[in-house]
Amino acid sequence: MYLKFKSKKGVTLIEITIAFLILVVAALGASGIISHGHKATYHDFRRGEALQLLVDRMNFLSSISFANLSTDLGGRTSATIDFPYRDIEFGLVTIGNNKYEVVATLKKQPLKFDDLMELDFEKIFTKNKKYKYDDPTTWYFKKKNNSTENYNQASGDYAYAVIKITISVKPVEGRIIKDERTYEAITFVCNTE
Amino acid sequence: MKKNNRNNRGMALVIVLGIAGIILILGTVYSRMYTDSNPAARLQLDRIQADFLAKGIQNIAIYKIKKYPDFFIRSYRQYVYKQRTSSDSSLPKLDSDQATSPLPYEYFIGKTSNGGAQGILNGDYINDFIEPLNGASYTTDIYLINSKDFNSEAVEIKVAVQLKDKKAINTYKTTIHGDLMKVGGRTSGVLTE
Repeated sequence: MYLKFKSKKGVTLIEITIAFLILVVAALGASGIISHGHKATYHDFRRGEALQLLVDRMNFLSSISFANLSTDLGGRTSATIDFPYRDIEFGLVTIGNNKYEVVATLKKQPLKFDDLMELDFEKIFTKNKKYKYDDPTTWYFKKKNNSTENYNQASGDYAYAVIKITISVKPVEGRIIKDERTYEAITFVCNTE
Repeated sequence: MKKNNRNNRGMALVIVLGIAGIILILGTVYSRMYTDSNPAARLQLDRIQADFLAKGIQNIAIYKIKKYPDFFIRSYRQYVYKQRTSSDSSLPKLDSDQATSPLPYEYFIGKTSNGGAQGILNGDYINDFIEPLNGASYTTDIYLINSKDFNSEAVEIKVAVQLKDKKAINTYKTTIHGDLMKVGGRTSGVLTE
């Protein structure tokens, strides 16, 4: 390299200039990658907080008994909780510099059980078998008259024995990050008391 | 002195290229760390959604057992007895009106004669039952576990959940002591994965 230059003067300057240019290009590229990674890490952090909120609120609501949830619902078939409920924050929840919109929905969930059966004592009699409570060979089953029971408000005791809990958590405000999604989960609480 | 300068010429470029390389490697590693953590966070949400859905379905299964305990206990015992007759020829066989297809127990858990599954405990739901997790599927199995040495029985409920467009099937098992399944027994808060 040295031999190609007729004069030594200015060689170091050219070297330094080229080196500087390479360094600048590398630094720019690296800073872009680091910036992207930093945004993504921040996004991950918010996602982690949102998931934590989702689990926490879901555990809280599903630990409340059916009787208490039903009482709070009153005559309504569904209710949206976006305000402090039983001393737990819902609605706009702030954690550090980040804010999340936490909304829960309680819904009396109608459902049906198909193909319900019961012991058929008439058949046990006609088969000339003596019913024994501990002998499966003496048991005959038949479909219940109403083999599909619908649970709704009109059926008295069976009215809405299941409450569906839906919770959604959405990051709001904070830094502007595109495509921040809403995190949702559901569960059911039944009248098993 | 002059000789040394001649030998050092070009070292600036080498050093700068080395530094630029290190910066790029650091940036790439940082970026790689993000791309590794992103799918993990998505899996975490899937897990949370499947977890709470399974717990809800387990609650509905408990509710069904408590609502129709006689149907469950007897049909299950007859099912087990039928299994035993196939390996023990000394036991009297069930007759054709008892050994139906599906068996009463299979009706209870929603299994069809061709090995399929139906009913609310097996993802055969209507309308918005599991919204916003539409497209998710699940199946439920229920067993009665005897432990005569400890003079107790327990109900084991196994729910397998597969979310929409996901390959993973998460299985959740819960065991509930028989005393809690009796009328008045509290089942809330005893669910375990």
